[in-house]
Amino acid sequence: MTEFPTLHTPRLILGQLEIGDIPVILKYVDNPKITNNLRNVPHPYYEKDAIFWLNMVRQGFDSQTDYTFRLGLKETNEFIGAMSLLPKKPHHKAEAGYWIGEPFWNKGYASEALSAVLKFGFEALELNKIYAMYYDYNPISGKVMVKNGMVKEAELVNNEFKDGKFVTEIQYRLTKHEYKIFLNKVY
Amino acid sequence: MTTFPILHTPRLILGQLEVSDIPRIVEYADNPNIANNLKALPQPYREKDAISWLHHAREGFDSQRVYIFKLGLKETNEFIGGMGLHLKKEHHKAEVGYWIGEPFWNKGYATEALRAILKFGFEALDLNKIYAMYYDFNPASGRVMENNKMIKEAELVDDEFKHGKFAAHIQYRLTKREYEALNSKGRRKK
Repeated sequence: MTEFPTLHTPRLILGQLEIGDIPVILKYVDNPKITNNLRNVPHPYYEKDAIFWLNMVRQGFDSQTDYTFRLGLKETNEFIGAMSLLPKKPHHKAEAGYWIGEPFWNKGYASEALSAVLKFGFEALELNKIYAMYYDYNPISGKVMVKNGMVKEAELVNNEFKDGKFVTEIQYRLTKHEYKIFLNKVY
Repeated sequence: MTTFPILHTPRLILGQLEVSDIPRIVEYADNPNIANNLKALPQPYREKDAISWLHHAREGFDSQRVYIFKLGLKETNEFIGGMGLHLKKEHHKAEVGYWIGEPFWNKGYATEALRAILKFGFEALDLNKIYAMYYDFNPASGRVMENNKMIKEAELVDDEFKHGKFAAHIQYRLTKREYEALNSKGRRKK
């Protein structure tokens, strides 16, 4: 894959993160309501952090270990958030992660984008398993997974020491086989 | 901690892997019945692999990130297997992994050693969580965890592509609080 893929959903365009997105990334990520729910994102969040991320994402695409999509609104391609698929190639599996800027919450964008990213992962990348995790105090992220037919497979108590506290991670998964069954149920 | 710790159980001494253990390590590790149940044991297993393991154990101890114990029989300190704690210090947790040479299976040695390792991890290393995983096709390893009252927290389906097949991982854990609650219930049955 030499060109970054573009995916379409009813209301979104998913494509490559651009340098021009950096100011708006800063605007949305520099928010504890976002960083508290993500694994390794610093707060406060500075331009150097956005540049670090953009570099990691570009290098990751080159090595096929990182497919990070910007989520853009269909009409304007306005940046509203990001969703990543991180393959662990020897095991034909990938972890999905995502965040949506706070002004765009509660509109179903993450569920819609995840549906497209799962399809991309299973069909274009031929993955066997896609999984995602959330902190137990952020159940809304879990709903995104449930809406896409994902199945709970782990409740990792005290799995991380984050901001001075031990936090629990919940993990959901979908195998290729389960994905096909879910699609058949939906359509 | 500058000297490698020594732990005692009723039938075992847990201490540092020694160069003189290498022939026995090779003899027992060079066995698909062992390799199939571990994440990354080279197969066939040769002297250079044992040297690599010893080196990893020494470096790990120096950096306080890995504590690999030799399991030795009490009378002779004969090598029968290994058990290691792999720390993720930033999260105050560690994964424990182990293997026993096939001639010494079904005698309860792993259960006995794990009990000492859990005590060491929670008390000497002040860890908050210790967890362990096994492939679903190796339930004997799960029994070692259950015998130590560990709690199942994950069933990771199709988690690894191993020898051309997808394998599931089952994960057990104990938090420090859960461990302390076990020990405050009075003497545990052996």
